[in-house]
Amino acid sequence: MEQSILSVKNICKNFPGVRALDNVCFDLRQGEVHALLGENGAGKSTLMKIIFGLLKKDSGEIFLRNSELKSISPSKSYENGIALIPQERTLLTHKSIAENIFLGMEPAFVSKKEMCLQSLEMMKRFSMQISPDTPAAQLSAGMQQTVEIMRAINRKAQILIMDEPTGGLSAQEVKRLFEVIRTLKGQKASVIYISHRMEEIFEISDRITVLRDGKNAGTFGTADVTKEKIIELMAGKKISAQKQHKSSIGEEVLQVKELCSNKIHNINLTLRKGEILGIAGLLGSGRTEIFECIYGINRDYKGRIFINSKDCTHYSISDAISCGVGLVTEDRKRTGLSLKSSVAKNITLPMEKRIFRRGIINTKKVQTISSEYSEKVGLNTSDMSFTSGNLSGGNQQKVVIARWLANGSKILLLDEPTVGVDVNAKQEIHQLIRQYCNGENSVIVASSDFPELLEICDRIVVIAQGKVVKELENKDIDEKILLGYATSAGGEKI
Amino acid sequence: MRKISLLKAPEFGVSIALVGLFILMSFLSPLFLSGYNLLNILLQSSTYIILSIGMTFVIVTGGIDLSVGSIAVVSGILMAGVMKGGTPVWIAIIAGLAISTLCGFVNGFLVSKINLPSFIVTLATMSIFQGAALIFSGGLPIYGFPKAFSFLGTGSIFSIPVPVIIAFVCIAVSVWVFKKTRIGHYALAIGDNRQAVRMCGVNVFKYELIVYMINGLATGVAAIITTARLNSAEPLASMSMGLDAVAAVVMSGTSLSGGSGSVTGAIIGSLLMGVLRNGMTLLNVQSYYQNLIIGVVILIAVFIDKIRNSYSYKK
Ligand SMILES: Nc1ncnc2c1ncn2[C@@H]1O[C@H](COP(=O)(O)OP(=O)(O)OP(=O)(O)O)[C@@H](O)[C@H]1O
Ligand SMILES: [Mg+2]
Repeated sequence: MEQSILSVKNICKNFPGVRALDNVCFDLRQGEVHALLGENGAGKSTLMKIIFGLLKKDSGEIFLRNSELKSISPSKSYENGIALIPQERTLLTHKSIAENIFLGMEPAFVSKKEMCLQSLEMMKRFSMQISPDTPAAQLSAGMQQTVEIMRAINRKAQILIMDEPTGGLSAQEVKRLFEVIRTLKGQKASVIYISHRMEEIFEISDRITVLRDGKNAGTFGTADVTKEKIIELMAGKKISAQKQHKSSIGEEVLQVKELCSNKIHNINLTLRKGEILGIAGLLGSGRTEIFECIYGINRDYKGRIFINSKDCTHYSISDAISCGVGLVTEDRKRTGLSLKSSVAKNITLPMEKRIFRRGIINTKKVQTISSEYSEKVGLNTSDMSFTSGNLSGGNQQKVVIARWLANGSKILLLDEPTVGVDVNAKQEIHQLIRQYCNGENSVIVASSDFPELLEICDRIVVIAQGKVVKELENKDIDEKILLGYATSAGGEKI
Repeated sequence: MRKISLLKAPEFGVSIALVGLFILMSFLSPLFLSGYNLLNILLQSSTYIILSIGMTFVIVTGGIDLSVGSIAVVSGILMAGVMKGGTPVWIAIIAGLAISTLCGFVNGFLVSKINLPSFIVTLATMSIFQGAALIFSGGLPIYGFPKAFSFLGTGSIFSIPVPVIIAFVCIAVSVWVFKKTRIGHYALAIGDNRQAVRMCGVNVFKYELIVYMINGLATGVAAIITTARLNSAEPLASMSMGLDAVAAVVMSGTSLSGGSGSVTGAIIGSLLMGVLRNGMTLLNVQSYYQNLIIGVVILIAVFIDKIRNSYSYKK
């Protein structure tokens, strides 16, 4: 148990203008779950990519079972029994679940059927009740993530690196993942576990290492340390407690009436001015679908949608935007950000009218708008020409949020707004949402992160299997109650 | 700082290759650096420059247009036919530009609205446009045009050849459109992440359509120059025309998957090809070898770009 299986010494890594890792040390024992924590941009993913061989270190040493690894590449890492679940999804969307699970290790003489059978076996452990022939594109974000996890586990690695594996996963799916991790632990495998969800860290990990600004900030036994201490270490300062949302709530700004599509049935919702409405629902419950109808991505629905009492049924995306609606999608890489483009371009992307005059771009305006709002959301760079894809995950999320704040949207639809966002930034984003709803604007937050909803929402609508099962004022309710309703309509049982 | 940003520029690789080739040629051939020859290079490159400009717009959206050779032929034949009918030259030119833009529209519509892969669409329209040109002309070249028209290919103003002037106008306009207008802005963004751009309420269909129309228009301009210079419109397309334009674009580090690239890069790429062709002719390199060498130079330019990428990454 005490034996160190992987040890990393004095790793340094520079990117243009960024010192991502500065003499970082890390060690992993056999059979332990070692959590790696740090704010967005602290260098967690970079360290993992170096260990796995996706990035080259500038200096430092890596030892596997006491022998130094000289040249590292993903294929060698697999041979060495190291597997990585990257933060970014890497599924081939046209390929089936089975093909994705076996990608890169397709057995030479085993039939497709055999592959499907083995995948099915694996999927059972995660209670995924669909055919392994389903193309990945048809899966929800959470299911895709689960396939990603299954792929890594299928490698039968002794060291499993999980970079935010639970982003977009529901409570049940997390629970199942933890069961699998415990089984792996029983088989003497080791796990490096990165997450921003403190509860998870304290539930599953044996030890915790904290990184701050690319440097070690300490390693502890999980039992010997408190959540507050960890958060303080991550930020390098004490964090003040959050304030409660109090704002005057005005007239109705959005009404959804009897909305039906192939995934949702008879949804009725109202949103008032200055209100934060939560939609609590598990993955696949129809949350995203509701947003897609309101925002005009899906226009194949029955029912009516009113914005400021104006009939906006079957509006297109650009119509919805001009009615003041903004949407932060659940998958920022796929549908949120232009990854090769600059931060400035991404923030101003929907502002066709504002940044162009007679079709000609106003560079200065792009600059001022984007600087103003990236400062507001606390982006970790002030360089507006920074390539968005090179930002850390949490900072990318901030860019998407900054976009809609800057666009002056009146109604913001947030689909899992804080997936992959560190604890402090999460507080900041919550604070932003509250400030934004200062009586003028309104927000709907859809999330499977129920504590998040309880923290910021005025009212919560619980949906399950495409139906509204309960509407609750956010008073004297807790996570259990929400979960109870969310699983009530014959949905998944915990 | 300055050094770094120069190195970061995607045009770095192809520029180095161009400068290197330039120096090499001026040593190898005494004729190379003469004013006459330099103008000649510009003249020979002018159509390639114009074609590669149009192609850049398409490629940054993640598309490709293989049909430009056929579009040029359709447009040339139509212009020639109209002029032969006795219509004024300017009307013929407008007709030529209109038909080439229309061809671009057809490509753009099929790619964007019907959502077919651009490679396949333009492979098909390459054949369709070619067929149309053959039918219209009966398979025979049309030649002999009014002086005003020939002037566009063979004339010069203040001893600068007219095609070079046309190319410069195209460069100025396109650099501006690419950098300053929403067309360039959104073309790049669409190539980067189509879905995300759509989600921001941008009319992706419109911009994709425009991009293919720009390419069609550019091809039409190039067709004017070639038809006027040859004083004849050939109904048989040159297959390699489109591919040459693509090569000029990708040499400058523009990725075929879209989202990055610049008009300047494409221009430098076309100049590189121009200098290369001219140099090989001066040195009496056999035409069989010319193709081989061009291929090698394309690889070298792309390779320099790759090194640049990994270098600017490190420090
Ligand atoms: N390819 C790159 N080019 C330039 N900078 C980069 C690149 N990749 C990462 N960085 C920078 O390195 C730093 C560390 O990033 P990293 O992705 O490791 O953070 P992280 O700790 O995983 O954050 P998160 O919790 O948001 O995922 C950040 O400042 C990021 O902007
Ligand atoms: Mg990360």
